[in-house]
Amino acid sequence: MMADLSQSLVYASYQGTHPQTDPRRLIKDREIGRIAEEFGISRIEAEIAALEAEIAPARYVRNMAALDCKDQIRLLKSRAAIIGLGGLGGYVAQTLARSGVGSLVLVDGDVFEQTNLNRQAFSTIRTLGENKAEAALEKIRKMNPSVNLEWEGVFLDKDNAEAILQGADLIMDCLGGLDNRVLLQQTARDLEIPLISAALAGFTGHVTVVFPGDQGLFPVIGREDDSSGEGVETDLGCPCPPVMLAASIQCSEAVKVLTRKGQALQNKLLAFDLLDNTFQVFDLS
Amino acid sequence: MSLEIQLKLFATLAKYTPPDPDHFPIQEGETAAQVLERLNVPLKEVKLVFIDGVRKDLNWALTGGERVGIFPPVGGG
Repeated sequence: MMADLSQSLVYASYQGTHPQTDPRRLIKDREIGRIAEEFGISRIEAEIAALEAEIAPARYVRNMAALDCKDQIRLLKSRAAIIGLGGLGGYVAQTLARSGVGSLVLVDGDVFEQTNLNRQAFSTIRTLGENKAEAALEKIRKMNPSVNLEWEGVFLDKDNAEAILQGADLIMDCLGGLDNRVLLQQTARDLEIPLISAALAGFTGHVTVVFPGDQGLFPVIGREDDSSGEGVETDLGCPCPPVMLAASIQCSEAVKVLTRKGQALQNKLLAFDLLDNTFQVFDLS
Repeated sequence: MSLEIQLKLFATLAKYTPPDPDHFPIQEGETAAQVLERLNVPLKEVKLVFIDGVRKDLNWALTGGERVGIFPPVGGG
């Protein structure tokens, strides 16, 4: 059976032309789909089997060199929960899906409105009024049909957080405001799941990676009083470019954490101010 | 000899930035809080203080030559 599978993958593969591409044999999306169906396995399982046979799904081949087959397999076997599908979450979901993170759980209780159109990836004229997580799922399926997608049309709260986050290898904190970020970090810590947080105000943003046991960021800066739970973003707005940049840095950290590459922003805060092009890494420990 | 620091105020606090923030004069032993008060920065809006890239509190005494980074609570997404 397994021999048949790898044989089918080899037959369906073709020679890549890019001189730097390793592995040299590639396989197209539709062949992955056909073989998954034929063998009664998921598309992700078919992609993993291909990579194990040193055949790269063509859709991931430009990841290669930066990521090898083993790294790509790690991504395909990973499950990330994305909490918030607005500004940060839309770009994060799209980037992780295109990168080949195999399972994504999309969580947002909100619906798209006109004021989201300046920055939120999946807000379009057609998706106004739709749940953000559900709309994201429809769009992501078209970008990468292999990814296992689930969505929850709810806001995270103390009653549902654990059930929603359970089983994730990684949590992406794409929330707006400060309130629920403390709950999210606490739940991530209880479940021993790494968390990647980003936050923005105007042209300023920052990103950090919180591993279980780390102090993290939002318990430090969350407000003690009973005010609205919003940060200074209400005064400075949320233009699109810094949102995309912060989401991109979050995803870069996600790929690094999941493939154990490079140095994560653990106990560090990468902060930027695009008005004067400040980029600094601060020590939180 | 005059002492100075390099000061970077982020987000909403940027409006309190002095004219030459890379060469901001301080008194020896002045704390981060005292520097910010001189600039009329509301201390209750200060959530993160970094001295030479490391998190400290507002009572950190400066000796000159430090890089000081100050953040309000940033939470947008």
